[in-house]
Amino acid sequence: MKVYTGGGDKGKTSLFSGERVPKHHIRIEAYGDLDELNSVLGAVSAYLPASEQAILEDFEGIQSNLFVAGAWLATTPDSSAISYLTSLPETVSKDLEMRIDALSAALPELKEFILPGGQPVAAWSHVARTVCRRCERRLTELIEASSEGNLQLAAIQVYLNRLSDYLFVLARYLNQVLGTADKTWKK
Amino acid sequence: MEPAGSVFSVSVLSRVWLNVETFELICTRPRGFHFLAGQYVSLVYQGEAREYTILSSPEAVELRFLIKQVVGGKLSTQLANIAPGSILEISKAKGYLTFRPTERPIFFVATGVGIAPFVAMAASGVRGFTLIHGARIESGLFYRQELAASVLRYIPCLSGLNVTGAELPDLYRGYVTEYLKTSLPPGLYDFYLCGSVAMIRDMTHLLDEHHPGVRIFSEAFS
Repeated sequence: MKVYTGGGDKGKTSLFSGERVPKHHIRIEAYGDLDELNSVLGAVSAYLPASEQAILEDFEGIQSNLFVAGAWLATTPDSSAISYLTSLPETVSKDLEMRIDALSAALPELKEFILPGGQPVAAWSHVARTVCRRCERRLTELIEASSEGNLQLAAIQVYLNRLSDYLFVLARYLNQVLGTADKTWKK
Repeated sequence: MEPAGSVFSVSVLSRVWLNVETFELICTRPRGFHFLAGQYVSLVYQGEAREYTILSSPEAVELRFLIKQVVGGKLSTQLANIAPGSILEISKAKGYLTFRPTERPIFFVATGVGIAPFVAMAASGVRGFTLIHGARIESGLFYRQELAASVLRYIPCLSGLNVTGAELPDLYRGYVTEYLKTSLPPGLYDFYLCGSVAMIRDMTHLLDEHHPGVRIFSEAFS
């Protein structure tokens, strides 16, 4: 089948639920940002040391979960297309919390703001964190705008919040593992 | 989760020609192979691969594929001559041109072998749709009889010059896009499109322009 159809050449696209919307529609913005986040995670993953197998496995799960989340954002809540969607596994946010705790255990306590940067892989993780925060902002905007009481969107919101935290801790962890100390903010 | 690269082996049972260039290939259904009506697979034979929509209903015991023999097309030519008992490989089912139940009037628009997903949907129990099927000549209007019990209305569109088909009820002489441009009253509809890139593009733009509020689901083939 063809990847392109040209149906979007005049600025509209189809949601998963079929509605034709402008490409700047809030749903497109929301899942477009998730797509961007997933791509940045791919960049982080490409830089990860091969020895960090547990983190590589984290990423595989996270990137798959973001596809699941994107499909929900691309579907209007009253559509029968909902029946084709799969739910995020119930434990995803709890799983991230456990990983945050495991990575944090290897780090010195944080008492000041740190400057994003350091090793390339850590710097990319900070970029991913900020894109993840934007995803959260888009999602809250979407939820407010559409008055959706969708449980899945609420679960995605929690997941993105936790994922941002994970990426922050990951950046610090990777800098430490690779021998670069946190740079703190000098007021 | 199933591995992305999972493949299944199927055995060719028979081949039925529908016109001089188009045939149906009937294969065994492998154990553990699941699909939704309207999905397609990547079909592989002797190193050549191409995607074909499954004609069968998801409950069927056999897998049927609608194949146009393309001039110079390696795989379609091989399949046109393949012997029963030959083994092919298929991927897991893919694609999102699957039916979403709706209260809206439903239009299925197909050109040529793009009819395949709609045959599968009808076989799976979808009813009450308007089917607009475009072909150059009458022999390209496959499955008219098979779909008669499922359609609310069937609009054949023949685009070839000086072609027969005068006896077809509701025959429109021209392209499917031209038919819709002149014949579709304003309203909220669900459209399913399957056919060439040009048809999908033109139909989508036409609906965007003249029928805001429609929902469109589409799949284009090369």
